[in-house]
Amino acid sequence: MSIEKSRREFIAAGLLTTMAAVACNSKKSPFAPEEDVQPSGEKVKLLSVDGEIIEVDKAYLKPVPHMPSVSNEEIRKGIPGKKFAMVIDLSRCKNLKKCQSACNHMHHVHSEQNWIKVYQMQDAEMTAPYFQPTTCMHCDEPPCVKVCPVDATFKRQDGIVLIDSDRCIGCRFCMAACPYSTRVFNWEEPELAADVAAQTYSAETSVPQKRGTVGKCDFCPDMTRMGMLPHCVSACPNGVFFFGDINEDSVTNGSETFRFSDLVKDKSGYRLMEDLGTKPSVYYLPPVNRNFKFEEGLKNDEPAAKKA
Amino acid sequence: MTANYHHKIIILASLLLATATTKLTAQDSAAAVTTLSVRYFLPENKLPYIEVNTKKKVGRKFDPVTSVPVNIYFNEPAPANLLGKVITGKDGLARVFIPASFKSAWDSLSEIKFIAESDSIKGEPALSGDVTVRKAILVIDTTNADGVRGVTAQLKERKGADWVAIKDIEMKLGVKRMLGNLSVGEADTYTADSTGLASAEFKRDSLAGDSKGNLVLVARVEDNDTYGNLVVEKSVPWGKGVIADTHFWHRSLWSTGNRVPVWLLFLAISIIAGVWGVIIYLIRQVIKMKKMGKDFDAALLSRTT
Amino acid sequence: MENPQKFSPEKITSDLLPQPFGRRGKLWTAALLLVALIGAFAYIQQLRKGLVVTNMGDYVSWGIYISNFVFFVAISLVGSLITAIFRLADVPWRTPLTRISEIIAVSAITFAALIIIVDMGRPERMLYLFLHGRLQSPIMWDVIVISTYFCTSLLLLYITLLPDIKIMIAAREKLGTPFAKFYRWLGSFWKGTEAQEKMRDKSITLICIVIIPVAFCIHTVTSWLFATTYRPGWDSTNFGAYFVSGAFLVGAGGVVVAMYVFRRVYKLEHYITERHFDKMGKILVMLALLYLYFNVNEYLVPAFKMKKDEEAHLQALFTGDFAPLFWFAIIVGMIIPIFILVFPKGRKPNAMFAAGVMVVVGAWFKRYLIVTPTLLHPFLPKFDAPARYSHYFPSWQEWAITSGSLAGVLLIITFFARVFPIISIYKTITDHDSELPS
Repeated sequence: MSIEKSRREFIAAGLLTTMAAVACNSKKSPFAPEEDVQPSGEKVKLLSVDGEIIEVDKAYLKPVPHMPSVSNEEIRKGIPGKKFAMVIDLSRCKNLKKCQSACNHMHHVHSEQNWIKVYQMQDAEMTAPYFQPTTCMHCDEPPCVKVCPVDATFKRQDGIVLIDSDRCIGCRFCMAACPYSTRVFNWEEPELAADVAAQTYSAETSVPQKRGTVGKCDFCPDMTRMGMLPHCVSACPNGVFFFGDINEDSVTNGSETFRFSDLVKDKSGYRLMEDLGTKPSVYYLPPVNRNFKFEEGLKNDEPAAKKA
Repeated sequence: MTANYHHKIIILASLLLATATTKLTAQDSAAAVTTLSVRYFLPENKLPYIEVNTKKKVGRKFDPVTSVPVNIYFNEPAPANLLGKVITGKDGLARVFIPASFKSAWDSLSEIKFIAESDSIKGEPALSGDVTVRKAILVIDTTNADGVRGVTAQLKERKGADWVAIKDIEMKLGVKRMLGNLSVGEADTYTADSTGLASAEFKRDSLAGDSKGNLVLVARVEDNDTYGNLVVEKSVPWGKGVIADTHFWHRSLWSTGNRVPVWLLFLAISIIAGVWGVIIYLIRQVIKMKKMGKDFDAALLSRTT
Repeated sequence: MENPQKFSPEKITSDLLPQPFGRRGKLWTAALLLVALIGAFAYIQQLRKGLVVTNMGDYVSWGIYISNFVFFVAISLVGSLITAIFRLADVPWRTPLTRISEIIAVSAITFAALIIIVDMGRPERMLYLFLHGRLQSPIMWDVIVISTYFCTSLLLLYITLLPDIKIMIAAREKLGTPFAKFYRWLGSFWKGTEAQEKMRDKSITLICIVIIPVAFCIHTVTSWLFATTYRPGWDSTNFGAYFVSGAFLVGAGGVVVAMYVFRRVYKLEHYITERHFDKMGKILVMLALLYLYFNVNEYLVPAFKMKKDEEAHLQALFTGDFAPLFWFAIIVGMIIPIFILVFPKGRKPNAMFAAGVMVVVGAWFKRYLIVTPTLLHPFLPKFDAPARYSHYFPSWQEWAITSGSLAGVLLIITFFARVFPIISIYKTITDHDSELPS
């Protein structure tokens, strides 16, 4: 996991040094946080691989460039040019629920609630059961957003559906409208550690959560802004979750990267409840050619499985 | 050397690293052990840097250990060879570039050892780690034979005054994507042939690039035990230009309150205006009736006086 | 017929003028106040701790607050039914019923608005509905329509009250001083001149025309809060008509109950006569049949198909956990009243009162059955959620707040009857005059 992280930084640093040394104007990454780096004016002399001495502004050398905090207005617009999507490969899921625990941990979800639910599904009596993790579907025709009376839940241009807990009035119409049972409500004051509670709220981190407002999977836009994968994707040891940008036509689970259009075509991808016309951004790959038995997965349910 | 050799070396190296770290910390392997790893990076054949990572194995995964002060040395752990003092960040990472003052040492050596050391703090044992790399550069190029596009890359080692291609190097050739690079062909990795050239056919036709259709090709050598990590990019006009989708800004039932569909806005305004027009008219009637009452009183008063 | 006995205007006035509470009235008011206070206490608790004091969960995210809201909206429709439709249709016997139905409408719609605030997780952000309102949301439509209906109903009540205010100002010796100033403030300008009369008459006709579509809107839009979702039991094109017909039924039932109570308490036997009960009984039976018809549509058609998503929901209603309540609402809320009311003997006051109570109680539970069972049968199975979210029975706070709101509605009606004549004195006198042979 940490290898993945440093690899991503490696790329970021690569760009940084390119910019610093070559005064790059050729390629502008659509996502480049490095564009926001302000030169500090303080120069250092460094050695290049072939022994040249190069003067570089110190500001470019920071391992992770400081991410300027994103305004609520920017959060509501989303990241231009992006269209995030997820592909969940059901043939790989064995109910480990690492996605769930990572998500709950990172978003400080109420101890009894889950943003990611791992369903035990069986479509028909004679067909095989399988595990189906569900996140928010981030629909392109989101029924929840349609019914929100105050713009508290909104869809962004990058396809992500978010909730602004500073706006939500707690009417819970969105919960009734969502056919995927994805939304949860903060019925009581969230129990948060002091440092978490003291964080400045952002609709992109969904932290800290607030009493009397609705919460749900947010596709971790704070992570994607840093060029990192959502927590569930990086937490899954079986590489079930693929995340990426449809405009780039590429999804990755951290170690494997596929061309999105090829993947969903070759493996007969589908979306949940297509007939409702919600147009989800989450695609599923059918649970075929599984390399484990369903019963094995059942063992992964903790003894005190929070199952209704 | 065979292609297999590299896989073996990687396994061996990781085994060695694992044993080394356990030896270093001299702790029970079942307990959470903090390790210090050192890696060498060279992006774009320009400024190499050393990255240290302090982490702790918890269960099956590593958690970063933060705020560990680490000294990084060039070749020898002596004060004169100190490249820099760093403190690991939130992700357990810290890095140091090579200051210009090491020029003569850098130029004279083709193989360099980087050593990282950390004193015992916060009840943690003292840590150390090192990495030895040979100086190399990575070169990326493109080919076009009879309309078949290809990507090639070479890892070149310093031999005297020249850079010479090395054979059998495993590397990744990909198209740069936001969260992970997409391999240019079907294979995940490509290995340099006997002339030191790794090549791949470009099979990502009409892949979305930037607005002009430019794609960024990326060649990468990852965690090579002789040469470290190298990455180099090249922009090519092989992609499909992406036209921004403006659908999002249209008026729709799911868009924001200021983008109400026109039909709905028209319906709502006409209904509200119609009904409230009547209500306001009625309130005005009440006011008129009030006035009538006052006039009546005034008339009565004038008649009696 | 017993009605137009030759009462003098003085007799009518003195019979119908509001009277101070007797012992029973004081007891009744005190009891209602107590229930309302307990409700307020429970609400303060809810404000402190959050909606966690309710037994709602992520599946049943709407509980009895919302079903109670639907009930209030439904019953408030009656104001438009009795006053507006009867007036436009020129139903001659409507006079003693109009004000009762108007005050039921105003008080019920007031508490419908309040109970929605109670249901909000963040009531302090209510103003956001106006600051950041989204016209695409059916909730926004409901907010607009309910406030419009409230204003229109209040206006109707006020304009029809004007001549009675004049009568009460004139009768100040008899009434004493407690509300004299209030009456003067409300309507001292009303002189009953020909010009004023004409204007008032035209205004009432206009309100009656406007209030009918607005009333249809409030309940149709309320039904759309459910019908605009995909959920089994809610996803119906029939929902608006189904809700409106149900609303007419419960409203008429409510008026029957109120008629009976006011008749007994204020000894209005000569004004609210058996003839009125007979007529209302016929209307009630028609409305019950109509609502039953919509119910058959609403349940039989999906049950015939038994789509997978509907199956669990319908079975819970027909034979499962909700079956006792479901059949109670159908049989006691519709079928038994129909059987009582089709017979002339069933349309006598006592039987009518029983039928009216059945209709109202059945209707309250019917609203609960519309809201909750659907939420317990989501499309995806219930997983990875606390087990208690799979069931719903309201907490004491929910019961207390709901009872408090019901008590609040009754309190408004009670206080209104203390301050104003519950039957229009002026209209009774003029009706009386016109019915006398000239």
